[in-house]
Amino acid sequence: MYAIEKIMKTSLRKIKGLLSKYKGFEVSPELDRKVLKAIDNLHVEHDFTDSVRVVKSPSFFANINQIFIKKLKRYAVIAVLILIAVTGTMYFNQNSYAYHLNKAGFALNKLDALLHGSRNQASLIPNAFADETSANDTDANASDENQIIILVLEVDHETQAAIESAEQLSDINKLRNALNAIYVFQIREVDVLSDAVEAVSGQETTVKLTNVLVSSSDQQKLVSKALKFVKDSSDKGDRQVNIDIETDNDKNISSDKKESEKKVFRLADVKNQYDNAKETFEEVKKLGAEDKDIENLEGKLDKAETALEEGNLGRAHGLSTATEVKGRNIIRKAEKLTEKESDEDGKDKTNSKNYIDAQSKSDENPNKLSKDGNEDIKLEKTPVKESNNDKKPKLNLSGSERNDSGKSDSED
Amino acid sequence: MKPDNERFITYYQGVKDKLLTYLMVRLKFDRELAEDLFMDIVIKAYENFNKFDIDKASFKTWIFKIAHNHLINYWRDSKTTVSLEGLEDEGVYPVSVESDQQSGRQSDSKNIQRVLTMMNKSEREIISMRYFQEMDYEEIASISGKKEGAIRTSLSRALDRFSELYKKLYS
Repeated sequence: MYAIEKIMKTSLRKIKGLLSKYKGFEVSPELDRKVLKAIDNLHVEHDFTDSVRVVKSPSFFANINQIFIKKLKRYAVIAVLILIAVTGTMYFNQNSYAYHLNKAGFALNKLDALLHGSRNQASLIPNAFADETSANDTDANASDENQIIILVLEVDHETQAAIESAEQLSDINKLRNALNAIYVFQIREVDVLSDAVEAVSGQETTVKLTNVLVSSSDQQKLVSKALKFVKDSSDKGDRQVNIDIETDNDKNISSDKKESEKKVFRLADVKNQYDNAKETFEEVKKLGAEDKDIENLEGKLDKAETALEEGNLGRAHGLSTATEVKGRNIIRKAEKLTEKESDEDGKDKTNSKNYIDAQSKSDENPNKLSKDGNEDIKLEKTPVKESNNDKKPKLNLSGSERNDSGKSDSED
Repeated sequence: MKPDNERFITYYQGVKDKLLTYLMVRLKFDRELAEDLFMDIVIKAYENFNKFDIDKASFKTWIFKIAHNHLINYWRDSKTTVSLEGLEDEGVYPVSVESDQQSGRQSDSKNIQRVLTMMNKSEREIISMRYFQEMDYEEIASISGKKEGAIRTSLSRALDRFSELYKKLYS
């Protein structure tokens, strides 16, 4: 038994020794090259989840392409982000008062060039003088008038849009800046629109422009009042306010328009308007305004008188209105200048006696400036208590309440 | 060459011959098939190299486990084809071994190969791992997914079978 076990153990040991000596196989150089080539052509890619992916390494050109595509992708992502940012900014800007004011300014510059610039300057305006060589004078005038109306309406539309955008602001500083920018723009707007009324000859055109001019002047007053309100609120320490200025978009102007168009043909109304213009002109003269302003007003007034004598009521009305609006604009500018100087010097406004006189005189008859010769500016200040829950002071301004008698219901 | 590649290739160089031997033994010394599967296994190991953790197992153990699983998958997928294992049971042996035998140049290695081809695949695997790859019981257990005790028993039986067949053929 022992012998058998011994034989078996010896046999097993022999087998184990045999197996242990087994050399096995070697990887051939060819297979080794194949494996290494396969590994070399692979590369590890770490994706954004930090997992690893083994992909075949591209060839040189494919590699270049891949790098290019990767860069392209990166640039595309950057471009998309920029596009989103720009679009967002543009969208935001398109809703900002500055955007509308900019557009209004562009149209006003074109209008100014058309009214006062040389023929060459004006030819920059498409269609305005496009047919310079062949068209007869009548056609050219009609084309100019059409262009003037288009530009005036554009200026008016954009200014109103700017006012509406400014109303959305509640931060007092931003609102103040916005209103100030609009007010400064309106001063120039009224000047140019007054000249536009003078430049056109067609009765219908004159009426249209006069309407816009009066509307702009009304709004200028409202903006001025809003600006004062904001300034006062700021002085009181308010940080946020709400204002609501009535624009043409807010009100139904069709009835006003019809009424004003009727009045253009009423001799008494036109005469009344002419008298108001004359009175304003006298005030401007007393202010000691610049000669060119006085000459400009005088020219308009003379033309209004001539039109009145000729029975051209529409033109007479328009020119009278233009004279008055422009005159009051000059007075307003002078007032602002005085206020500024007073603020800067810390002096009492008694130094500006002339201007205050002018102001008091203009306030004696606040109704005389209007589309139809009758004007009323309504201003309501909503007390803080009654305002919105956010406790912001609120100001509602409108210039819509007019009556035939030409009397105002209230002012301030 | 990237650092990952370099590290992998260093490991690969250390185990490549043993891996090929393992495959050859398990595939009854079909070199062509063994080389094909060898390529597949090395690339598979490279793809999963990020999962390799030296603290858990040696690279050899890790890649042999991949090879073991790969072979299982290979045989499973080749079920529809003619089973060499089945043919072997009927006494049919790979051509290469027959040819070597006919040439009369029978070395110990050839004798071992011939005996091994007559054994079943689990017997071949365990003998290969223990003696050709010089793995300990723990490593073999880890690769094959069996307990160490079972590995000892299986190995003992495999050796007995090998011894029996060897004696039959060459005593």
